[in-house]
Amino acid sequence: MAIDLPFFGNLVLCAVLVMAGYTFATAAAAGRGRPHMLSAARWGTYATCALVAVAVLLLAYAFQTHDFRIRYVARYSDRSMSWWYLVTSLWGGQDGSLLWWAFLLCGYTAACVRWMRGRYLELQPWVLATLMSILAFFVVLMLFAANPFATFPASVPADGEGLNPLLQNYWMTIHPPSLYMGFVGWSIPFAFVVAALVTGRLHEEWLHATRRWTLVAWLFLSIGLMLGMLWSYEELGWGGYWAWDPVENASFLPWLVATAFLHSVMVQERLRMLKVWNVFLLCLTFILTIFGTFLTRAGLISSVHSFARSDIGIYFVWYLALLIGGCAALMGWRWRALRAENRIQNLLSREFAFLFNNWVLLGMMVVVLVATTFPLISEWLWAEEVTVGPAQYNKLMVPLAWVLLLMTGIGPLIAWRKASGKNLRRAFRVPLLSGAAMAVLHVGLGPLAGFPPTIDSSLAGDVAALAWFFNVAPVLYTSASAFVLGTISQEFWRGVAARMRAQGERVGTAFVNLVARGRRRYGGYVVHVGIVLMFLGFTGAGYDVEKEAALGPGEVMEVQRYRIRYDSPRMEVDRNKRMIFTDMTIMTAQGATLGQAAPAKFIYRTAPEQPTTEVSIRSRPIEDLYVIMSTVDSETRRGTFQVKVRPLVAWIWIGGFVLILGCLVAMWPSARELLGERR
Amino acid sequence: MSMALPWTLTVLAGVTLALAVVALWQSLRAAFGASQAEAGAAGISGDRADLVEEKTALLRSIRDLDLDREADKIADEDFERLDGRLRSRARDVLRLLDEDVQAFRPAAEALVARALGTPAEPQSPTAPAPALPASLTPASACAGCGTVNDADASFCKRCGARLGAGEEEDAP
Repeated sequence: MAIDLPFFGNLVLCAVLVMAGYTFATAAAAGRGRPHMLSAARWGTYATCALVAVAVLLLAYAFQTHDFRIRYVARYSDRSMSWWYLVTSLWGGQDGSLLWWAFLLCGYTAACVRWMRGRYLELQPWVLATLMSILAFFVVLMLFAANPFATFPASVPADGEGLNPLLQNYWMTIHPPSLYMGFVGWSIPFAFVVAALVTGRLHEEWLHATRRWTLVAWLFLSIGLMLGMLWSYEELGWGGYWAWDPVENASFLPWLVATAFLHSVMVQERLRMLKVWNVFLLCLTFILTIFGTFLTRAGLISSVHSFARSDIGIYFVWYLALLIGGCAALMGWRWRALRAENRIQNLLSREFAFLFNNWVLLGMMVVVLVATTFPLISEWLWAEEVTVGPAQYNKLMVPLAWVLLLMTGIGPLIAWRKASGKNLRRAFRVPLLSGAAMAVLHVGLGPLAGFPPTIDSSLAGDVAALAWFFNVAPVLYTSASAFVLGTISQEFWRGVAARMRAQGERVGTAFVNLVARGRRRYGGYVVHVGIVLMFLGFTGAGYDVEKEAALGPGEVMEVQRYRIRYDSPRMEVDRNKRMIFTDMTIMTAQGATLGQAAPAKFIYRTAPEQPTTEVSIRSRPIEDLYVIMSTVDSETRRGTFQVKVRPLVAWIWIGGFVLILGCLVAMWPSARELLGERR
Repeated sequence: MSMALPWTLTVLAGVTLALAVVALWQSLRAAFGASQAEAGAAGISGDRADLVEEKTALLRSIRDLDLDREADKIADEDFERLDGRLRSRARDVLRLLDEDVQAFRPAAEALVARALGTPAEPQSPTAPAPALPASLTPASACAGCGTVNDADASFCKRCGARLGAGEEEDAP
């Protein structure tokens, strides 16, 4: 080969570091009273971003041409992989995913620089400087600890080790990029808040500037979480979608704080309160995204995701310390300016409801954070590693989540500043009635449909109140959901009715105009609907039924209302794996055929000792039938199977879809914004 | 395997690298070579951009608050206080935006005159300022604090009290 690709890659990475430093310097100069340097910083940012893109393209080229001189390429790909998986290998391992992180950051940065032209001129230099410093950290990390262009010291292998089979899945090709888009996206709002702190421009300017960026980041974070759940459900083959795995938690932590931020921002916009709180939440969200990357990548706490362990941990620890110290110092420096102009005067007010919602979300965050890092804490305190299991998480998270669900319904009903008794009676009547109606319905009809209002929960602990809560959790959740839906319907209906009265519009027109006029508000309500639907799906977990059986061909097992017949095993082979299917027929209790299932084991050429479990899922709105083949004997053809009936799981995905829809409504720019921004 | 993809990647990498070099060149030019006059102009329009930004934000806040009142999400007295504060600030911003343009007016008029070929009449720098539009002329004084407000004001910009009890502009 004519050019030495690994060397060139390293050269580009060095150039990125130099450019980032140069851009940081020009931006800082612009911020310190030399405005003509701003243009230099802007162009410097573009140049830096382009160089990062060059590095990514070089690595992609190395993958496509099987350049196994590069360690990363040899470790995460092999010659049998299709071009598409060769592309996804870019973020399949640690070194590449750091480069991918940097690349996405550059994408956001370039978009933000373009978007900021001609405005926020005071903030801009510091926004650019902050973004460049974040980028520089990742480049330093790559150059000194996890270099994606590192080569083998001696001989070059003939073929690579191949991508982990678990990652060769369509969800996996989009889950990490989406999650990373969500993680990285918080850099932009964080850069704005740092700029606001440095310049002392702490009024609502930075909030307005970051409005849409926060929504974009939140949306991607949510999509990433959901895709992760789908991947876990379909690919890991243990029958669940969430296991409180450290890396799942790593992405859930920033999501919780970000959600709190999205709510408390509204209080500052309306009443100029909670300034410190909002700055704190945004800084915390960003710090948690870095912490999340650290957890995911440094393999600090063992997890199904820890595909690599390495020595980048110490870099992250220093960077996190720097971030925490820096944010604290900036906030301390601007403390006087951040002090609130107003105080919460009344506990029965919208602002207090928002604050309470924030406390619940942060409470959940603390629970997850402590539980996730508990192995470390316990090892440090008692020299013994104690891991916290899903049951422990659920003990605290299920009640907290219920309070949060209730708040989703209560918050929108309470007026700002001070709610009067009359106002409350009027607002709460319909939602309370719908909640009560649902409770009655559930108690009355639930048992007939197979959803009794109470369950014998294994989670019921020693605390009597908690035990009671878990036993009646299903009906508590369904009635709270109905309460929230009542609230949202009422909000929509009142808005529509007001427009019909005031403007004389018809229902459809009034609805469209209402949403168009208050996009963020009504988009937010649609997101709430999505959340309620997801909670419905989570509630279904209380009714899970599970059965295991060893069957010979032609034998039948019964699970609830289903009869499942094992027909025969079957093997297929393609270029990189052997696939062993077991064909089964799903029938009703009466014997009528409902469909086919073919759970399988895939044995990859590159990882024969680690066969993947390919489950067969029959998904219906009322319940999923989830069939796992544990083993099959090639001689006797007998197989052992695990069958789970998981009610209402489909609603989690439907809810997720609604959530995305609502988010899009909330961030959709108006025509005036689109045109007006081109001044 | 097909070489189409690697070739595409090579070309893309080359183009991106070229773009990086161009951007770097532009940056260096801006930092060390560009005329300082451009930057000066950018500074002035920057203040203006901030004001326009604030205006948009204020108008949005006013509309949001209005939605809240329609939906019975805020008591009338609270609404009036918040709304009054927002509106008075919006008025200030609008006036500042207007004054910002006033400074350029003589120059603009001279340019227009030159372009039209007519000899520019008022050459003196102390040309009388053009009259403010009618909507900006101060008119009603607040009964409570005596502050002079704009003619179309519904609320006092100082104390937020409702002006002109007689005028019912938002009768349903």
